[in-house]
Amino acid sequence: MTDGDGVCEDPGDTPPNPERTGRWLTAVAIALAVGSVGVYFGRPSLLLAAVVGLAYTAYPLVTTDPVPTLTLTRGVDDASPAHGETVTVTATVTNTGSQTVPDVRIVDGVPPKLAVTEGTPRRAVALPPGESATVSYTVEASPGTHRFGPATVTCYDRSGAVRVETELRAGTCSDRSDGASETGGTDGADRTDKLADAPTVSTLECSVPVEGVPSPRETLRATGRTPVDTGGSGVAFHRTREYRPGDPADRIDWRRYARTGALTTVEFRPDRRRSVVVCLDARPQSVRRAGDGEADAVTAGGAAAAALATTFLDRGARVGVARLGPRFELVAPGDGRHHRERVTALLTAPPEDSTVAFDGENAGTRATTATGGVSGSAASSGSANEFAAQVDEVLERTSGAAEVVTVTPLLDEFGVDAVRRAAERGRGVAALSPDVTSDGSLGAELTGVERRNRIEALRSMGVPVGDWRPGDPVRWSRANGGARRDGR
Amino acid sequence: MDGDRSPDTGPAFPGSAVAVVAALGAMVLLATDPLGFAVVAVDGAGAGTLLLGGYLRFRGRRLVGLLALTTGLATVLVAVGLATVYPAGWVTRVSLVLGTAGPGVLAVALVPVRRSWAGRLVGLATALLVGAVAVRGYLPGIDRVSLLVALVGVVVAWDAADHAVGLGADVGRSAVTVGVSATHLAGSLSAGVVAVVAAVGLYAIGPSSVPLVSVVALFAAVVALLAALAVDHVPAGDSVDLEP
Repeated sequence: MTDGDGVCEDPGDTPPNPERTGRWLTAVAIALAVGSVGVYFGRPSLLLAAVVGLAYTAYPLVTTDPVPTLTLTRGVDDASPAHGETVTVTATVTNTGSQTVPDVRIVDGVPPKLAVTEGTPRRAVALPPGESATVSYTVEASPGTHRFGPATVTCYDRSGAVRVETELRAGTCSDRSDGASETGGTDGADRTDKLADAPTVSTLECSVPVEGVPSPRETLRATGRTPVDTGGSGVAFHRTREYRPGDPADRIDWRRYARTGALTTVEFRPDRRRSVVVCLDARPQSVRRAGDGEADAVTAGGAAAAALATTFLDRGARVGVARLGPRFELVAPGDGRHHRERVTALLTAPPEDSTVAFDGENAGTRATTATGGVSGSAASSGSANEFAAQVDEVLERTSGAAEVVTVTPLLDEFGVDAVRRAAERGRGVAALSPDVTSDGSLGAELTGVERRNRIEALRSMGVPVGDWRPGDPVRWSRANGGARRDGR
Repeated sequence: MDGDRSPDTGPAFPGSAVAVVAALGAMVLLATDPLGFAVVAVDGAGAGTLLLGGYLRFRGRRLVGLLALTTGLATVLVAVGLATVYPAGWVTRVSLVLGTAGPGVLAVALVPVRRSWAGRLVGLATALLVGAVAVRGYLPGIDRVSLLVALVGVVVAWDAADHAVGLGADVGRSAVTVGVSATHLAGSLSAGVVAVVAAVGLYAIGPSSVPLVSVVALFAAVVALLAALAVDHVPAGDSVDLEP
């Protein structure tokens, strides 16, 4: 895409593979039927009519095979929308070859977690050389990083007898011949330039606004940007204390000494560096959503966790990430641009076991009407131990000063248990809980009540808990209960 | 597929309309007298109303759509009923019954009454229409060219219907498909014109004293050859030998 000399060099697309549909064998049947009747009853006009059937049998033999020399560009009007905002996506397929493709069927690769609200990402069109076809549709953004898939393009020849199916990634083309270079000259160059200019978007970033981070319990002994509540060297006044031998002379309060004759030492708040491990609960049990079209707790929680990690990094903290789930991954605390990208990618990766949430059309209701951890933990006690072991591993492999922020929907006891384990080891803990419960039914309400009880239990332990409904900014309550966000 | 997660994948509307019109046109060509023409016209009204009902139902106007579907089906049944009591010999009546049932079944297939049945019902409708042409060809008193054109109409109707079913499955009913359907129709119509010209030419210049057995043998040989070509046809040259 960036190369000046062509856009067709990407061999990553699946190679087009012509296959015959055999649909015109119907014409053979018609020819035989009509011809046989004509012969049997001695009707020359019917035997003659069989010629029509024969002609149609021969028809697909004379049409040229479709050569899908196509490129795809995709643009959006807002690549980083807020939750619930509608985004208009425009995908344009251009025929860069020298042949007309008479039947192109385009299905754009809409990100799997986004719902199309208006228009359709599908279109069928005949594309003469150099022409473009555009599909335009709107999607409603939900928290998370949404990657567009390749567009599925099916080309048929004029008679519909040969089908070529390809997958087109944005900014690439499905050229399988040198047809594009045959167009040659200035024309081809112009087209390349045009495509290179067009914005090509592969992801929609719907990030979560974060209002503050939980206050620190413990910090690294390294200088950073977080003021802590101990005495030391810094700029903000902390307290004065009695002079002890060895205190530096410039920290002695000389005015006071002049006034009272007592030696006192001034202490300042040192700025220390925080170290945080953000743990995302990506277990299959947490792939739950409030209803159709809503983001599930792992996707939304991942987006919130990524936003939180970014906020921590922006404030100079060292941030590590753990993904608790079927595919356990731990990134040790660190910083820097590369680290930030790695952290964001890990947190916003789609849930591994998405079948749990999407295997039935009322998976959402099943999710919220599930009777909490009772049946779930009974069914998967083995894996529950496995996830608890993952929490222990996170705690063992990160330094004792690292705080643990657990992002979990709190639909079962796992989240509470994880926070408790971290707190028992003397870690600073906080929890962020995406709210995916609904009050659609009695069972769903029960799940919501259980979740709020778990939040209360955590708060009574002094753990700051962010009760976050996707679409709102992330806020933290005071550890001592404090203001409930929505009064429920 | 996904996207608009469950698009209505029924047959595309433009192709469906073309199919029904082509089928009705073919049946009009087969009609022998004004009365037969009137029966086909009633049938056409019914089939059109059926398609309209399907469209209205798709647009969310369920009540009006249901009303149109019921009216259309009733009208088609009336047309078939009229065909059964058509005042003529029974062979003519069979031809007319097939010729009215064919477009009716086609319209029912393209509404569609049930999406998974669309393909099979299109096949059934095609069989009925070919049957109508064959029976009509058995009867004396039809122009050769009319018979040829009618058969072309039947093939075009099947082609358009099958294409519409495929389009609907691939891109759904809400997508724009007029251009593709028109291109496809132009292709199959021109093939039909070539077929009619070839047949008429063949009849005009062909030797008239060839024994029937030779003609049949030739016919069978041509069918076998074309079928073999169509089955084993490998996409040629420009598509396979360009591996870098």
